[in-house]
Amino acid sequence: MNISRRDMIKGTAALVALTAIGVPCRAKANNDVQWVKSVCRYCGTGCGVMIGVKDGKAVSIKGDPNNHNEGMLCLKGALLIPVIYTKDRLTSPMIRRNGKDSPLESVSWDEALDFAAANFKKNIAEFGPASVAYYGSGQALTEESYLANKTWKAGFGSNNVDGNPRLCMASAVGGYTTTFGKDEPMGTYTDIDHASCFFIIGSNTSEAHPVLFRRIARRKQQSPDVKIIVVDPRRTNTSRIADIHLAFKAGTDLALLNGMAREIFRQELDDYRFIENHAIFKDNEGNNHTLASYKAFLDKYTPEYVEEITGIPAAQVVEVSRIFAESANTLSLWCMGINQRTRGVWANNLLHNLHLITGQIGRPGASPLSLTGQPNACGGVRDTGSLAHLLPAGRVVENPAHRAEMEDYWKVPRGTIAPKMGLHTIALFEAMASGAVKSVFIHCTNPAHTLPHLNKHTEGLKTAFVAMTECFGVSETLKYADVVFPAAFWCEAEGVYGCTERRYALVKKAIEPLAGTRPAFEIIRDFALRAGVNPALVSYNSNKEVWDEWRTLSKSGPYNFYGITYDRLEKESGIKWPCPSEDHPGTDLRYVRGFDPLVPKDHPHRVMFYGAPNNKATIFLRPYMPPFEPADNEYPFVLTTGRVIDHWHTATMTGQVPELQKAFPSAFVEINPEDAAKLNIVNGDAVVLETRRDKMTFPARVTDTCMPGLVFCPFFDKNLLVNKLFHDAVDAASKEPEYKICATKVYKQA
Amino acid sequence: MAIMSFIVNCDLEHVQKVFDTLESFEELELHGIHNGYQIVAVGDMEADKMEEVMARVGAIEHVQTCELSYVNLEDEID
Repeated sequence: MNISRRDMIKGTAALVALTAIGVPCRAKANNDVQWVKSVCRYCGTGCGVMIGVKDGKAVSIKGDPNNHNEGMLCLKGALLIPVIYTKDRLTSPMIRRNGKDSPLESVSWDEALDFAAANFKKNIAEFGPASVAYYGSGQALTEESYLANKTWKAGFGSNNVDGNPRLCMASAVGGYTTTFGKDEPMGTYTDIDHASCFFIIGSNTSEAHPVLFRRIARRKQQSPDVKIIVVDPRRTNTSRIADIHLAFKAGTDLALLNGMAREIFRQELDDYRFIENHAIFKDNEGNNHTLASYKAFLDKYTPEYVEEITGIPAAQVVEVSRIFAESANTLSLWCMGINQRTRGVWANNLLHNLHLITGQIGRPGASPLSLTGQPNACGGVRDTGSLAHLLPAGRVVENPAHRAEMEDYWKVPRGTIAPKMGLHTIALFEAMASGAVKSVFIHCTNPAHTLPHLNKHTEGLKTAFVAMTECFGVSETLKYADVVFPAAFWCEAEGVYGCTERRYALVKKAIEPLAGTRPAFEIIRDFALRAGVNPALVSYNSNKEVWDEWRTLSKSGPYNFYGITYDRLEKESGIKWPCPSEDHPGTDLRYVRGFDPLVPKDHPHRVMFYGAPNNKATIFLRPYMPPFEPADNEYPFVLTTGRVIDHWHTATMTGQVPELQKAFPSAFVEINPEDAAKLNIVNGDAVVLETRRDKMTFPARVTDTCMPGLVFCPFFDKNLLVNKLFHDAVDAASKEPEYKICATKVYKQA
Repeated sequence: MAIMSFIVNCDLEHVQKVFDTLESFEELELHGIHNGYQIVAVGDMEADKMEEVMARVGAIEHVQTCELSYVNLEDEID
């Protein structure tokens, strides 16, 4: 075949555009290439990939046609291979010998491990186990998180185990556990193909989860009667395919959700029998309520009252309520717009309420389904209980029976696990700044970029001893590290990822770790051994051994995935739990008789919320509360943040890919044309955002994406750390910070 | 010369009409309708014509936005 250079460039141009909108990228067949089944490194969609390996090097990537993504990849996934071989990979352990002001210098693995371990040992001996902490990641492999959790809680006796899922999914966890008794959704991506109404709220799916967005769009294309309702203060690419876009005042969605519930009852579209059989009612104080008192509570949320609070026309409130309830199957999808809020758990509860009162749950296409931001926040951190208040498989630290179960399973004396929950992320970094926590081990995450109120919380990183694993030399957190362990990246190691839909899939080792790096599992294990942890607790020879211990532990409870073995994962493209035996195919519809193996076949009802007391979910009476820092006369704009399609998180990976970096080389501020005109701002002007914490200057993008009064900045850019502008107020229950709303001044730079 | 690609976001119900209109642009090679509302186009033209073509596409009725996704401005592409 004779192809000119001109044709090749045109092909590349088309490929970039097509992958940018989520069209499958197909690699050319090459007989010399061996294809290894794996999982994408980026978001919580968990797309299956095939990695092409030739002569020991990864040379190509394509979507796994047998996984849920049916061969599709977004542009980020299609450009993962260059990230492995970037010049910014770290390849030598480093330490600062003389404190934070001294330079990082390369040392041997032995010296780096001993240096970190000695510090932890000394502080535990002098100040007690609570003086040391682990800060992990929804990107770490499941086995790494399980091992770290066990090391800290049963090895050191410290419950100071938290991680970046606290910053993204904690409110979804709080919503599921309070409403249904156990974490993780009942729905799966298969629901997208059966839904007749999509209620997308607080999610820019088109940019944050492009492959799922394409599946939603395909559903709409194939069945034009399918309704899509998007609730978002921004007019994003997601809202472009919506039948109804509700652009509301940021932070007022609790009023909308209560108003919709009221309208559903008023229009007599509720499912009384479902409510009667499957739900109870409670208020914020835990008092029991009845259907009648719930309706009385909702009474004030008239469409007109909702319009007054949210700015959504009353008629639209009436209409979307009807569509939500009347559609054959309604699927709600949400993400950080709901979770990253000081009332994030409440917002999650109110979404679940809508499904419970309408019975839009437990059928194909009818479900609440939270979208996850990271590839292994669900499986790796939530399920393994690698957070300060949790123990594995839904157990909680402050329950004595749960502690005893874990102590027996881990074969440590009763009383080993501390009875009090550890410090959640914000409290942890405050404790580091105050000196209460002396040493932290940071794994696979970049808190110096991602924490809110960064000027305050980097103090913790400056004060505490910081040991960290990292793959790339561009992480902001390296500036504060006392010890750096260069970790193997993605397909250089092996382990399990668990994505949004309860699907576990194997990240298969496709190539050897880059010279000088080691798999993080080995780093954590060897650090633990040198820090004095009982070898019987952590002496695993492989990730597979950790996985087998973990899946066996799951056998006795509601997170049962005992049947998901490495052997199966190597052959199959992911398996959804519950999956209690090796011949079980996995579960699409959780809590549903005939689908979920944990629901008895003779259960009298189709649905059984077996994680909750008496098998009944809770409908919560949660009033509307404004955000922590709404706009006011002094700071008249609302600032919100989010992703752009071509970058992921802090761009330590996507920033390595020229095609992606060129698309979005730096952050910017989006401002509505009306506001821009009033402030005499045009495209490209230097615009100052000034909040009560700090002020920063961004180039302006004048666009009607934002409604008047709202400005948006992406957070990927390390040179414009927008989180410096944010407060660090957290949800009272989930302790998740409110990244989505803070008050700001906006003006053109003089 | 320049080679560029862009994504044309259209009103959902008029995407076919926009596609038909774009077919008359001789500088453009179309790569289908996607997600029900997006058209991918590759342009091959003099570099100084790029902005004009983008503006013409953006002005088509029912086009919401026209987003540049790739550009190669090398003088000697061949």
